[in-house]
Amino acid sequence: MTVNEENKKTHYLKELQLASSPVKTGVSVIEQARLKAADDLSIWDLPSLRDEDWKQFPLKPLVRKHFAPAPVNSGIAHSDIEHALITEAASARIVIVNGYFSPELSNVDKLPTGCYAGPVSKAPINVVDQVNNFYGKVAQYGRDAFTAFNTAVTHDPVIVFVKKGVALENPIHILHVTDASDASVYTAPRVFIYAERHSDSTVIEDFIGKGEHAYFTTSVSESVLEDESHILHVKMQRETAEAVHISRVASKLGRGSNFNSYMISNGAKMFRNEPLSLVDAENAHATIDGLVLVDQDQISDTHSTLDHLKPNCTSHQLHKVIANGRGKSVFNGKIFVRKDSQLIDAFQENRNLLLSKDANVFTKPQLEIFADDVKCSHGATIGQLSDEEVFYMQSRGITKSEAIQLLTYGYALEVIENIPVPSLREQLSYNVAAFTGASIEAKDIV
Amino acid sequence: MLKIINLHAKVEGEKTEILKGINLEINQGEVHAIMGPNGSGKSTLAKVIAGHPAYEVTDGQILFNGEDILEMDPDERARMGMFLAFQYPVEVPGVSNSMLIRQAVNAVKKARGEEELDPLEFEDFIAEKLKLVEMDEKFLDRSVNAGFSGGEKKRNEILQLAAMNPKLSLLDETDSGLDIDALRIVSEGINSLRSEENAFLLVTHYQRILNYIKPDKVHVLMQGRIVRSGDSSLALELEDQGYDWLVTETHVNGEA
Ligand SMILES: Nc1ncnc2c1ncn2[C@@H]1O[C@H](COP(=O)(O)OP(=O)(O)OP(=O)(O)O)[C@@H](O)[C@H]1O
Ligand SMILES: [Mg+2]
Repeated sequence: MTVNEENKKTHYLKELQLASSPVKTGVSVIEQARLKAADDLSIWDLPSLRDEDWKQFPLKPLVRKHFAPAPVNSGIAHSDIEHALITEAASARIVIVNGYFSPELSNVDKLPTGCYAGPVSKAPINVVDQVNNFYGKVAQYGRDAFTAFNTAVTHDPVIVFVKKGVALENPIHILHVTDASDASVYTAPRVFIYAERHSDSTVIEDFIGKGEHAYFTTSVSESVLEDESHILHVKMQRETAEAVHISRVASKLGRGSNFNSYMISNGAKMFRNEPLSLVDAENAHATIDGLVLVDQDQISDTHSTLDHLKPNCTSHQLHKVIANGRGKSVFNGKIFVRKDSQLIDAFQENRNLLLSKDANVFTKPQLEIFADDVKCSHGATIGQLSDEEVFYMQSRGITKSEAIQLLTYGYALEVIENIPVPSLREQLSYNVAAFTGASIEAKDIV
Repeated sequence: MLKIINLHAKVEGEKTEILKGINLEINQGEVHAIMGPNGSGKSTLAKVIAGHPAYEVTDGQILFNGEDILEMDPDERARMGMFLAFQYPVEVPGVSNSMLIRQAVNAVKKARGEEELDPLEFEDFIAEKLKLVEMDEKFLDRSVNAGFSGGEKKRNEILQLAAMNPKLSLLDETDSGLDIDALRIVSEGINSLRSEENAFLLVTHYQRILNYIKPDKVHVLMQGRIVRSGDSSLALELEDQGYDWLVTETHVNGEA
């Protein structure tokens, strides 16, 4: 790399940020965070290749390109998003186009009183209070330039607020659309979810795109769970094949709360997921399961952190990967159990299914346990489909390629089947089937 | 229906032969039983007939309905009407039993030029077959064999057999692991599927299944060879005396 290129790289995000003109929210904590993040970007920028955590995720494809802030006026119409809509969420849908809230495409009329879903600029005062209390404190970014970048340039963050004791009947669908029909653009969507005591909700964060141009999405999501609350969180990354997608899904768990998160990723040219769960009160449970499908030259990188800060908690992380073509997947799963966090039960497993000999996976569980009375299991497997399973199906008249497709589909199902939204499960099943080429019928979907 | 001539086979890439010159002919309407000590090659024979890729045929022929099938893939053989009930049915997590069976049935139907079943037609179709083996329909929604008890797995094999209606069924120790009632149910199921058009090859260690399904012929397989063939009384003799007398006998004849 020449000096010039290196230079350009060190100020890469700063330059993108300088071109932005974020929407003013009127919420002090957000505006202050913006300024601080912009300052931070002047001091440090993209991670270097020498950075151990970024070694497997070459940023060149990003740095080589110039991305402009995605414009507010976009031609995205209902027909562009129809394929991604979720029936169950018809009356709880927030559509963000190019990072801007779209009132035309959204519909959040039927939320129970006291609950809110929409841009922070329109949120009621009690909701804004919680934003002021916790915004940016869950997705703590340290020196993570991408989260800083998101904080600096995001427009009008989406807030989901679930009132005390309310169990939302329907899931809330937050659909982020990036329009790259005319140019290479960047977007920085931001979501903040606040679950009051004893509430129960399902939130789906979903990423799609349009157009042939490359685009760059940095998304950050923060969830705060009060005592005994329950959030089922789904993140679907189904960006176009030209996208670079970098995201953080952070959560902070209160006493007896449950954060169950499922990340399904099969889009984008390269993507990175950084789940971060702070299990910060007793009797809480966090699930951060993932399903990654990579094909051709796609790169997936998951760097997760599960931090057990208090005793008597449990966590579950099943990260499943299917790699085809020259696809590459990286998994680095950190689990911390702090000194006084006794009686922790943490499960972690990374399973990788290689469908081609050119596919590549890297897996690294990283357990750092400072308490002595804990149960932590972790494991990683890398394998092909079982010959015996393939033969068994062939002996039933099913061709080898069909057998492989069905088995791959079945492999993915273990993650998908936990998602309690039938129409979403159906869409995912078709996605996986399309990936594997399996011919499935509606009846086969669990 | 099935004609095996001087069949030699070994594990792909290994040297030692497991099957050392098998000759066997099964005609339409017949039931044959193969018995023999552990490790003699019974399952290997069944799997080689079904086309398992782990084995390499080094010599000989297998003719199915007059056609040489050695070059055919296992699924082609299955679509021609061959069925293997596994000694150890494979668990296939994530693939539902109903999906597997419907795809299997439709693959066979398509090959026969018959109309495929849509999901609703399949429901009625499979309900009949479930009755035959007295299986609960809840097994359809579960992953193939996953977490099934030993006996449930065996029953599931016969359910698939009934659904696919093959010409030649190779049953590898289907009776092992079945309780007395299950053995009766499975045997009666098999008997009701018998016809003048199909044939069965039963691999077994025990006389008891042969009380229900009377074989036309019994063969003894030892160390990769059929050392003795006879009628159903041979099975009784083996039950009584074990295999030792056959070893000495063949040695005396200098054939081993
Ligand atoms: N895939 C394989 N790899 C290595 N060895 C094999 C393989 N398949 C069969 N064998 C060997 O070939 C011999 C015959 O095995 P096979 O399973 O056919 O025996 P069997 O007659 O069915 O025995 P049992 O009554 O115990 O089921 C055994 O020694 C077995 O270990
Ligand atoms: Mg055997």
